Amino acid sequence: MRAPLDSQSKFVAKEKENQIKSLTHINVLGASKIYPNGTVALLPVDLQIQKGEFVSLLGPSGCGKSTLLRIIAGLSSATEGSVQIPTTDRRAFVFQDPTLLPWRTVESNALLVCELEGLDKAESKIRVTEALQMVGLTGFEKAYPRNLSGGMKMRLSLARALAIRPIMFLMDEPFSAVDEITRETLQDELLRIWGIEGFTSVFVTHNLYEAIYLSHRVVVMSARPGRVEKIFDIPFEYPRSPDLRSTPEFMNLAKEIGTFLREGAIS
Amino acid sequence: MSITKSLAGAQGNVQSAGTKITTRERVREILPPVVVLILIIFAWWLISVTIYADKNYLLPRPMQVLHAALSNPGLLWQGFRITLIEATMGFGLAIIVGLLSAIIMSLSKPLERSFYPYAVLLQTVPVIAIAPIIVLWFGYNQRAVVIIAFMIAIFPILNNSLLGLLSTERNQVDLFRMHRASKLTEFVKLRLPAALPSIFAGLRISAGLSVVGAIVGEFIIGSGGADGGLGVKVLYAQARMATGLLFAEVLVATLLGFAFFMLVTVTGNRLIRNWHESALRKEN
Repeated sequence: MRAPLDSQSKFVAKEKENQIKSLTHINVLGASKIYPNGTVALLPVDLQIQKGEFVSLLGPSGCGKSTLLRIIAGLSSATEGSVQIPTTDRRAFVFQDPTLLPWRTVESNALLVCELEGLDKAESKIRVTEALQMVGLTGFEKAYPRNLSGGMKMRLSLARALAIRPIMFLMDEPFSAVDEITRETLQDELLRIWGIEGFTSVFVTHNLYEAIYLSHRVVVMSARPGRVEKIFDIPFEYPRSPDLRSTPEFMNLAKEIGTFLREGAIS
Repeated sequence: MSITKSLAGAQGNVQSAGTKITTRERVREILPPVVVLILIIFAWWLISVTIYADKNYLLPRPMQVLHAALSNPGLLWQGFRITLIEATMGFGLAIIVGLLSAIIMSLSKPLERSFYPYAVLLQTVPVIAIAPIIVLWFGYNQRAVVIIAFMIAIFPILNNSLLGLLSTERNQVDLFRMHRASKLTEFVKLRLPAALPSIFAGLRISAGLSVVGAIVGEFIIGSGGADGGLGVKVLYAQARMATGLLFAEVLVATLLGFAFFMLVTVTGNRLIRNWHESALRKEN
């Protein structure tokens, strides 16, 4: 079940298991979510995510993918089970909508999370400049969110999260509200930044191409009740190029997961 | 207040193209209401010289009102000043008490649950009907007038502010919680600025109402016309059938309410002009 970070670790011997354990960054142990009214949002989930790994949670609405992410983020608590993560690691969360503060300028919005984390002011300023540069928003520092396009707002939301140099990057359908072309550009940028920063990524999406393109592993979930169906290893090497999307291997894998998703939805 | 400062500071030098307005656009904006005003005055004049030609004690001509105003500047100024002070004090009290109550209720769910129904209920009590009770308690003096202005003005502030403070976007709150922001940080950096448009919507309504409240209060305390506010002077002018003066006084009272309203609107728009739709100039 555990995904290898490189091809060699496919043959991980038992004596190396302790080492693997130390590489586990996010350890979800039988976490479930049942609301007081009896609605089962998520059946118990076991999931180990390694340091620096990129994992997508894929499924239709109501499959509990956002619930699982919120439990990992600490925004929601598991009814049973637990999530083990190093408490000292900085976590950043990117929401489905950009959640910008309209009264703050681009720069000031990007500074917000640094402020909340109580980082040094001068240091934050440098990081924000870097983060804005990373997402291509240099030159817009003094603009207000209302003057930005949908894609730019999302970039700003990413920059705000990146500015704290997170060890863990949690994203809840961040690109679902932007158009197709912008979405693909943002995916490439996210991969590029992840390649540099090396944070552990958990990415929630209902778009299977997006999940395959970005991830080491795709966790396929289904609804009513929300549960993990199967975990797919994605064999493509990083760095990935946009051309990957149109290769037969990519299409075949998409077809396989797509079929699985549909069957999961019917059953 | 620090939040005001940080908002003002956030107004950078980037302005959208739409905020630059030409003289022509300004004329186009101001001209229609001015035309309407002229038409209304003309209609008034027309009616006053035809149907009411013999009964100008019921409807004076525009010129008679102007004449009455110009020949009683001291009286009008005194009424204006007194009503202004009463309304300002009532409005000020309403802002302090209304905002503080809204803030406290927004921070404590039990308090909100306990008191909010009464805040709504009290709004339905015709304050004008309890005005005599207030006069009974506080006496026939300006204090009673201030209290009446305060009572009429407080509810829109309380309601709108509370609504604004409670309707912060869920994800924004989650973002703050995610990064372990304190309640105070959450309030200062998120809830309060997010509520500013609602708070000012309440203040705008209350600004006009505080003038209404002051005049209603003056009606009830009555007393000799010598040193009362506009409400007292209106009653006095009516008793003497000085209709020209009566109209002039009503106009001055209207101007006072309008000035209050504009002051609040302009202040509000300055604070939120860079981000909130209601304060943005219509583009194209």
